[in-house]
Amino acid sequence: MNGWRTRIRCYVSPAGKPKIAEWRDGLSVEERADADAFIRIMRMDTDWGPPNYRPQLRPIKGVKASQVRGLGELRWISAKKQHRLLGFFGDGVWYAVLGCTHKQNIYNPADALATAVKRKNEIQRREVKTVEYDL
Amino acid sequence: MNTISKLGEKLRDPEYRKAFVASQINIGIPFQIRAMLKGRPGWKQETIAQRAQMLQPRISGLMTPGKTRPNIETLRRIAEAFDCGLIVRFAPFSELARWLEEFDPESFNVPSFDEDPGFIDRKPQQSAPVFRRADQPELVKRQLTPVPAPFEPAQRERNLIFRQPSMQALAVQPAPGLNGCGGL
Repeated sequence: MNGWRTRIRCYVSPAGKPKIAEWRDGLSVEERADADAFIRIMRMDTDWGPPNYRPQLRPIKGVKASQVRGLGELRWISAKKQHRLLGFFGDGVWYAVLGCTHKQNIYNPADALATAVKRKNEIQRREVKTVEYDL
Repeated sequence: MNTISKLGEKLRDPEYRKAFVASQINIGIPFQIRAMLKGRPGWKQETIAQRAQMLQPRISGLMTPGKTRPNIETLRRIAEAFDCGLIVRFAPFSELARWLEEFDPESFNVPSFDEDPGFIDRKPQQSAPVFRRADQPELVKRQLTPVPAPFEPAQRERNLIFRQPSMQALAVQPAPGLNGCGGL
């Protein structure tokens, strides 16, 4: 079918590194398969909402509420860890900017939210490229 | 590269194949349960819990992608709660890949037996008009064309089908009534 109802594009760093592909490659096989299955279903749906998608992240220490505005996260569990793919909607597309894990309000990597904000701004200012999610 | 050949590439890795089958259950089933709950107005997690004779937190866990690894007995009880069928069978990876390629999330909402369009037409219409023919004094119900019973009553009572295991990948999918086949 390939009828993705929600298009996902992925952040590419200024150096040309496909950061979402790198994140996926760093997962264990089990986590990779779970991420693939989860994202596949989400792409086939337009009804993105809690609990699988949190449309608005909460600010954390060091990151202001105004900075995270518009940033959301896909949420699933794999290998007993809560996985997150952070991103935002724009022009009818969901831009994935960073993959991470989350436990008791702490992201891993710890600077995940700040990095996501930075990448979101880079995409919105058209300073970086994005690629179609094809993982 | 289309998604099937992309998936085919991934499935060349035996470790990925193992994980892939588990993912279709651990990740896919919660989406199905959530969709079926959403398709039943007035139902809550407690409703499923009560009907499946489980605790509500267990249902919540079963609705969270990746949180639990539901076994067949659990899935059977969930199917019973929703009054729908459950298909568990082995399938080649290519079939699973094709099914994934073609499936529509809206098909996640599986109707109960009473709402199953595959059976509604065959059920006797209680309110069907009744009339007497002059040459045949017995009552005749209009619209009731004889249809061979699709299943024996005992079989109809069961909502779990096991087909003959023959291939590699496991497919688990709530199914409307006793019809259909496929996998998640």
